[in-house]
Amino acid sequence: MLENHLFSYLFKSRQHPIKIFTYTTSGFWLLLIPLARKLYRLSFDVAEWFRGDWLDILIISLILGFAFLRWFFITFSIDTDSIKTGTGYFGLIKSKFNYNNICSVTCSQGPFYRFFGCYKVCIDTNADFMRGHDLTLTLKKSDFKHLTNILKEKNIGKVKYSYTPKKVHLIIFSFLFSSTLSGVILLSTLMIQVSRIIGRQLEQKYLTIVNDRIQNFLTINLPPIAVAAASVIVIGWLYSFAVNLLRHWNFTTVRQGESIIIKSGFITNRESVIMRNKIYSVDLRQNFFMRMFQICSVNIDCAGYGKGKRQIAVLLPVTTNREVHNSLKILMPDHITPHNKLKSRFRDFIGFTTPPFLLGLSIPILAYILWRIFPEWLVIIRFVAFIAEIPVFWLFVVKFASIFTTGVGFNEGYAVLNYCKLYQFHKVTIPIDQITRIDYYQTIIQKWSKNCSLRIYTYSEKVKCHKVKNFPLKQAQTMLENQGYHMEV
Amino acid sequence: MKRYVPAKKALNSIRFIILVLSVAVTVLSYIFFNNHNIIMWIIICVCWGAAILYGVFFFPIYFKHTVYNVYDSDIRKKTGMIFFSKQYMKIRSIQYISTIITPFSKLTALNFVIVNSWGGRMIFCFLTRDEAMELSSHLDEIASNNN
Repeated sequence: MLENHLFSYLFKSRQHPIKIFTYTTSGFWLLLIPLARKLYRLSFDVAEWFRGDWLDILIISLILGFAFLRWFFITFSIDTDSIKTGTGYFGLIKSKFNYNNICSVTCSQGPFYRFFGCYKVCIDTNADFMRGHDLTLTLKKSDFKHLTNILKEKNIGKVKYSYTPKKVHLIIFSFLFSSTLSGVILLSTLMIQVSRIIGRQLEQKYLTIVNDRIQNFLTINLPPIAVAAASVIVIGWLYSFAVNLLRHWNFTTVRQGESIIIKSGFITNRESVIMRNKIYSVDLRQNFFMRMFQICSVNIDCAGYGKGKRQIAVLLPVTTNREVHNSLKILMPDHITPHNKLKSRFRDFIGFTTPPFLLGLSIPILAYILWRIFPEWLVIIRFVAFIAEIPVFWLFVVKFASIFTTGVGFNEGYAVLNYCKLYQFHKVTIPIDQITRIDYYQTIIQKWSKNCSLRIYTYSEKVKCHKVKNFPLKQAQTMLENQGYHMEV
Repeated sequence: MKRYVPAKKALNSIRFIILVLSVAVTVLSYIFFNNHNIIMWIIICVCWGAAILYGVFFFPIYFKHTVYNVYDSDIRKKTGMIFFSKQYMKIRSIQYISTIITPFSKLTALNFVIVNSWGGRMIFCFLTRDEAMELSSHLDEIASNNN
């Protein structure tokens, strides 16, 4: 009886006990290895082990004890109208999250959590809580079921509309949205962590092997550092591709009642429940090739969704331009996409292409200066300058293409903003009442050609700025005044 | 309109905490820097200087100038220690409320109410326990009706 009481007191309204281990320091497991090895060497003579390593054992016990206290003081209760939590040190911060205000709930279960039967649940409202989620809990299966039942209760009996992309589309999506940079960051983090444990031999060995192999394949004489850097970029990209593909495998979007439920994942299963009335904007994204092949990806802006590290807030991973409006009608029936009323003109192409042109021009000048300072580095400077020119040339092509797509439109309480940010084309549809501020600004060239650019600030969890460039000033002013934005001061 | 001000008890609690910390720093610097007199005296002087500055000037100014007004449609806060500021928050933008009630807060008045709203937050510091509970339950009720 007493045991039952104690068990219930300890585990009821608290997170899954596995959370204790995640509250320890990240290198905690490394401390255990020498201790376990020592115990094994002493043929499990615990008394001798305690005498010899009492300080290490004491430190580990303190770390575990501290983690236990953190776990113990974090409490929660799932009620019918809200979730109440006690977080922070000694559980002093008491918060109440009403279901009305929750924008998204994201649950994930990796292999480790699956083994222990627990779920990571992230809850978000529109309140801007630094960079993380408003509330993150590791729940037991029973608590998780209880929470999801409450969240889905309102939708029981309502019709389900679902969208499942083809596997080929998912591969294309992962291919297009894999970032070399994030892959390289992941790879370098991995290498740093490995070199911390086993020294720098592995890193050096890797660079030597890559260098030797590639030199055998290629007849041109490339600097070893360039070969190594290129290989890191390629492997980083492949890694990012694999991570993206595994993350979005089995992707399904379901609309039921007022919620949109998005499921995905191969190794780590994810499920996000998004409140439809809390989706603040829909963003159709394309890069140059996607535009050529008339495919696009649909992203949404909803607090908490796609907020985690290297996550994308995607609603439809890849779909054709022809299908996108039908799919959106199914998933978001209230959604309206107005047409562009104000478009940029071809004769203003200088405004679009000048920045990449100047950037492209600055690279050989910079390379020349560097060569004059470090003449012995000629080969590497020439190589890096050539490589750097490729993305700049591509940026020039993309910006030139954006002349034909840039535009703004307002209709039926919605605004559409078509613009190009770096290499990506965006078509953002947003309710007009989410727009908090509109600026128009002119560069010297624009003043001369009587053009202007618009900065449109929208508000959801965070303030976002959309820059739409190069419109005739008079037309822009007239259109904004028609919408009630009087810009005259 | 309901008006809240930081409790006087909290000022005395802060002064007490500052005093205890200053004594602790003095003792520790005496133990660890006994052989380096100059360093020891610099640490002690800086510590007590800051303690006096905050305990006698800055915190009393902060407590004197801080006012929280809760209206039906908005919350307004006036505060400052050296630089003064006024903050304004729409009631309908409130998303959720967090309350921090510290142990012995009936005596210390170290209670805080954090109002989390669209894209920002406002913190009500050093309220009495009753006021903190009253304010948080009132704002909680409002938050539950907000969408």
